Amino acid sequence: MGMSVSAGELQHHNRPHRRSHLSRRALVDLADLRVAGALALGAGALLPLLGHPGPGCVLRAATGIPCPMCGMSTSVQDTLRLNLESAFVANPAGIAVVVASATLLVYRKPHRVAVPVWLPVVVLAVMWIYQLIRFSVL
Amino acid sequence: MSNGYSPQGGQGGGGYPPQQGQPQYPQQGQQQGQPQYPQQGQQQGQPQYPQQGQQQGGPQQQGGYQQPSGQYRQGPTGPRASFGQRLGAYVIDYLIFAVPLFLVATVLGVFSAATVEFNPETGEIASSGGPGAGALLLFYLLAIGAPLLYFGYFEGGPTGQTIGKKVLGIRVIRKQDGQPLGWGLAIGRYFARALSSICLLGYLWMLWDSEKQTWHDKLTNTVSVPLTAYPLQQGGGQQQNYGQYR
Repeated sequence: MGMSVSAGELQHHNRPHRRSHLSRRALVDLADLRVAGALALGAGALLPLLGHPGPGCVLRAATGIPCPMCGMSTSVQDTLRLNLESAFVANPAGIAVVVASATLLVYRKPHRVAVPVWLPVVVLAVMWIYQLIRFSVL
Repeated sequence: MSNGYSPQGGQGGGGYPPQQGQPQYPQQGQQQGQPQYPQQGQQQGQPQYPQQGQQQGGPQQQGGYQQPSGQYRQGPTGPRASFGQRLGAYVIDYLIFAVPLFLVATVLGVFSAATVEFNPETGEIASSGGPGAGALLLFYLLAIGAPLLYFGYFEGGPTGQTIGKKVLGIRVIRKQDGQPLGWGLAIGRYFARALSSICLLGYLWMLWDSEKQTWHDKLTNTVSVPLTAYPLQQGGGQQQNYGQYR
């Protein structure tokens, strides 16, 4: 009991000097993620049936610059139809979203996970660079 | 969803203001809190003083583990509304506008298609039918103005609840002191929603944010909280109610 804390985490707690926001960990509520994931799967399954590709990107419509999430609707829809290649081209993160959402719906064990704050920031940055290249902005 | 946190109860000291230590709130994720196990392994010297270098309060005041002024904070500093609750509230609020606006738009003829004719010989483009400029302007004013007044009035009021939030049992308060937003901040929060809605990223941000804040929460320094943990004071007297959180 209590021994499950790894040495790295203890070190994290004990370091005396100030650390940046990015080095913090944030507790992510998996119940929240599960709801969001189920919505993503539902939208990905239903939108093509409605003959609607999903909402367009406001940022790209206004400025021509894509956002990190561009192509996500397409990617999730394509992944659900196992068109992995076109899903990857649209936005590789869509495949990850489908896998993660399905996993969350199956496994209900941990209620929260501690995620380092830099992780979503880096992921979003990589996603954005991918979209900027895809739309030839970079 | 009671998680043992009682804003009214107990130790007057560490109540609302999130920045200070909150001994009575069970810290959502005990995975890493671990007050009882004083950092085995290393720094054997100081069992009951975690992070002794920098804490402001001192253990005798707080008793047990104290969160070191937010530096290593992992979970939110108080109960927060869940993603599902906030989404549900938003859907209800959205429907409250969408249905009447749809009817108004139909009456105004916003959806009626214009016939555009191009005369290849003169190069003239003539359009007929379709919504008039006045009708479109009126529609846009309603589409922007109505939600602005709605969110400004309800979120800025003393309860911090829109109709959707009321149904889902949540409310929005200022993060700093737990007070209601006031109309100015509530209207600012409405405009900040525009930023959050860019690719929904600002809304999804609360999924991994340590304070479960969306971008419009962060911009206005507000949090959405469950009513169970932050109840409304019966019969007015908001000031007194929140005074004891300090």
